[in-house]
This record gives sequence, structure tokens and C-alpha cells, in this order.
Amino acid sequence: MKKKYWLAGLALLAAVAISLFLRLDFSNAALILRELRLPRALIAIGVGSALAVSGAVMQTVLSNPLAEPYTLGIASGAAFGAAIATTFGWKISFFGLNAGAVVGALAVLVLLLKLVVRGQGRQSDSMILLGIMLSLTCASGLAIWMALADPLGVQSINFWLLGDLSRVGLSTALALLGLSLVISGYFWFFSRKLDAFLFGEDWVEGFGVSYRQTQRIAILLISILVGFCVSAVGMIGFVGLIIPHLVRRHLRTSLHFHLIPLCFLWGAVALTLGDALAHSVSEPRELPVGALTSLVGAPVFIALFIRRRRGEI
Amino acid sequence: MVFWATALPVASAASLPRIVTLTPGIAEWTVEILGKAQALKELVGVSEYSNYPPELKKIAALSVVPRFSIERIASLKPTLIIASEDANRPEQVEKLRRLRLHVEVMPPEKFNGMEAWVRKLAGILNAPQGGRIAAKKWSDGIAELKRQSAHRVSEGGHPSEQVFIQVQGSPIVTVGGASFLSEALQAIGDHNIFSDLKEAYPKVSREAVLKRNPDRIWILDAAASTEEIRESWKKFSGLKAVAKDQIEVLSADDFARCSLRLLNALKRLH
Repeated sequence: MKKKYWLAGLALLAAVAISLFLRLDFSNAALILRELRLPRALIAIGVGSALAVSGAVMQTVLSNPLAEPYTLGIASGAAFGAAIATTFGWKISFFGLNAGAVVGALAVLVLLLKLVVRGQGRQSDSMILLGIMLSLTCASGLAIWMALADPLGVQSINFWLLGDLSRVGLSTALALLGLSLVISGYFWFFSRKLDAFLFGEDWVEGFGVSYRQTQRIAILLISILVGFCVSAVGMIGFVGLIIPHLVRRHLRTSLHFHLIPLCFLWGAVALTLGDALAHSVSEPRELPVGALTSLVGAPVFIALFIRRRRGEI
Repeated sequence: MVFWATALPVASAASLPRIVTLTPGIAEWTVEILGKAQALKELVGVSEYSNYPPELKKIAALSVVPRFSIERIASLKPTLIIASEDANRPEQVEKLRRLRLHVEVMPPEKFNGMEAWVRKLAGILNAPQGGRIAAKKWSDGIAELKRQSAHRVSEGGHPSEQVFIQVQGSPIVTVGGASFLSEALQAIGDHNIFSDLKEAYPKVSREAVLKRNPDRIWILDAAASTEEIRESWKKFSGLKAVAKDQIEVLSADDFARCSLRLLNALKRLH
């Protein structure tokens, strides 16, 4: 197991080195590194780790391998919440991160759970379908908001929605990284409680774990984490879906004591590399990193969906 | 005398053309060509942000971005609609034509080809004389700018400065080679650092600006939080523009349209 941690740690170091030094202009290196590339690398680690850990925990507490902040509409809810908060001038923020995004994320997740409880149960694909519907509802709200917004601001909103790590400063990056570490640490500390969910809803209480309480706390923490991530960098899809599945394959186990820290590390690696690609591949332009992750993530989602239908996962 | 005065054909309000313009630049040149008094009688609708001369603000303002309301335009009962090839959507222009409205489409504004552009607009407005005068004002203005630039070089000033123009803050939007502002900079002997990009308004990274290290940064005040944008550059002390304190906030109204106001603004800058 130690080897797996070493591998992930080395991969993260390599990803950070690539992100910092790929196509760097060495005549202005100190300035670019300090002001631009270091905050980007830190926010990529913070957001990548947060999304991967959130995905892993959601898949467990919702008993659905396709669950992640993007597919269940939580990211869209956060974006809509941030948009509404901005419009009405609700300035509750944490290091420049918009608390309206947390409220939006939480609202979608709670609504989704209410709808699923009344429907066919968590195991079914209805959760994904409802998530997609909620995501579309939030996207429609955003579209209306953008239609009413100042046309000069629409491009800025669009770019943020597609995932943009360039607008974040060092203090916000550090705050988000700290938040990701604390919440991931919490999930790691209570990994045994999460393990109880692997045996199915009916067995959780048998392990002395309160199903409702554990699920509610997990949902609240994920909403806070995802909400702040979306508020900082927009919507970055599928990191929360792919990384937990790849890590489970790599580990050959779903036990959270190892799953959480390795998802943290590999999520950070994935987004750091994705962002390095986004800011260097089409220089002097910049690609939205969320579009790149979705380009890779969507086919993986389809493959997982098919395997799930066949009962392979 | 009285007899002759009453016998002269006086244009009544009903027989006047009813003109709608779909870009602020076209509205501004329409006023220049027809003369303010005549233009204000004939214009019944102008696109949003048409604010020069200020009297245009009293005319029905049409929201055109991302698309205009066809019903709203039709309700103005225009006899002539003047659209722009690059600023208005062709499918919307086509819909206006299907309503049997008379629509003329102007080509993109080119700094080095504005005289022909102005004469074409004058032809559409059926005011060739006004067009000739307006085109002459433009060419005289350009000649004056070039003289000023040559004088600057002969006086020992910098022959050419590298300029970065920022249109929007986040993402950073600048002007590329297809924009008339790139040509305008050339006319005054300066160089747009992103003139190699083919688009008119490309998005670029902050790092790319640092790499190209401009001598001057011009921030157009259409961008939200202009002061924030200016401050965001100041921490990059290695930039030549920051070291020389050459970050200027300019009026977007002057620089966003290829009009006589642009020439005056360029003259003031040098």
C-alpha cells in the first residue's frame, strides 16, 4: 500500500512541476511563478482533491456509483446559487468565495434526496435522471440570468461556468486547499462509518452507525466543499466521477481509509495536469479547463453507465 | 414671396424616411452624414449604447446583443434598416427581409478603408454630398495623425511602442489583428502586441501579456471594474508599462467605434 501512496505523491509532484514550468517564460519567471502559476497550481490541487473526495463519498452515502457533484446537478445548483447571490448583492463570502454557491448546492442535493425517497429508491438510475433534470433546471435559470445580465459581462460568466482557474488569487487558493484538507480529513477520520454504507442501507445501523445522521453530515460537508469550489473556479465536471473509480480499481478495495487520501492525491494530479494543458496548449489563448475534463469524463461516464446496466459494477 | 414659400415642396413627417440603425457606429456616422438636425428627424430606432451625439439617447433604444427583437423593430415601421455584417446575426437580418422591410447590411469597419465605407453608407442614406464631406473629415484626420506621428519620431520620441489594449477583465479580452484598433495603432506608429491573432476580440491569458511585455496598457472603460483591472496589473512590476507608469483607462465610447471620435482620441493620446 505504501507504494501506492508514493506513486500518487510523486505523480502530484510531477504534475505540479509541469504546471509550474511548462512553456514558462524564464525572462520573467519569478514574477509569473509567484503571481500566476503558483496560485493556479494550489487551486488545482484544492479543487481537484475536493471534487474527487466529494465524488467518492457521494457514491458511498448515496449508494450510486454514478453519483458526483456534476452528474447530480449539485455543481449547477452551486453556480445558480452564486449567480443569484451576486445579482441580489448577498455578500456572504469566505476568502472571496461566494456562500450563495453553498446554499445552491445544498438546495439541489436536499431536493434530489426528497425526490428520490418518494421515487424508486437510491439504487436506481432515477437518481441520475433526476439529477440531470435538476441540473437542466439550474442551467435554464442561469441562461435566463445571463439573458438579463449586462452583455459585456456574459462572456465573463460563460468562461467562469466552463471552469476557469486563472481568476483566483493566492489567499483564495490557500483557503480552498485548507478547506479541502479539513473536510477530506474529516471523511478520512470517520472512514469506518463510510465503510458501513458499503454493505447496503439495511446493514448500516447494524454497525452502530446512524444512517441518516452520517448521510446528512456528509451531504452538508460536500455541499460546502463543492459550493466553494464552483464559486471559485466554475463548473469542472467528471473529476469526481472518474478519479474514485480509477482509485478503487487501482486499490482493489473500496475501504475509505485508503480511498479518501488516494482520491485526494489523484484528484489533485488530474486537475493540475488538466489546467497545465488548458493554459499552455493554445497559448496565448487559454482553454476552459472544465471543457477539457468533460471531454475526457463524458465517455467514461457512458462506459460506466453501460457497465452498471450490465450489472458489472 | 409668400406664394413661393408655400408652393415649395416641404417634406412632411409622413414622407420622411424612418431609419433604424443596428450598431452605435452606424448611428454615429448616420448623424455625421445627414447632419444632426436631419438625422434626429429620420432616425426612429437605434441600437443600445448609441450615445453620440447625446440626443440619440432620446430615440427608441433597441437591445441587439445577443440578438435584437424583430417585433420591436417592425413596430417602429422603418423604411430603412441599416445592419452590420459582423455585429448582427445574418439569420435575424434575413427574417427582417422576409417581413418585407428594407434592410441594408454594411461591411465590417476597416480603419484603412473607412472613406469607402462612409461613402457606401452615404449612398444607402441617399446623401452623397454629406458622405463626401464626412469621408474628407476622416481622411484629413488620418493625415493629421500621421503627421503627428512623424513629428514625434523626428523629435526623438520612441518610433514605435508596443501597446496592449484590454477590453474585458476576466477572461482577459483584447483586440486582435481583425480589429480596426490594430490598424489605428499602426497609423499612429505604434503596434498592437496581439495583432498576430486573427480574431477581432480574442481572449488571452495574463501570462501571454507578461511574455509580450507591452510598453503601454490601455484599458477600455466598458470593462466592469476598470480600476480593479488597472490595480491587477500594478503588481507586475517587471512589466515595462508598469515600470513606466503607462497604464491608461480610456473611454470605450471613443475607442470601440471606428468614428471621428476615435481619431480625436488618438490625437489626444499623442
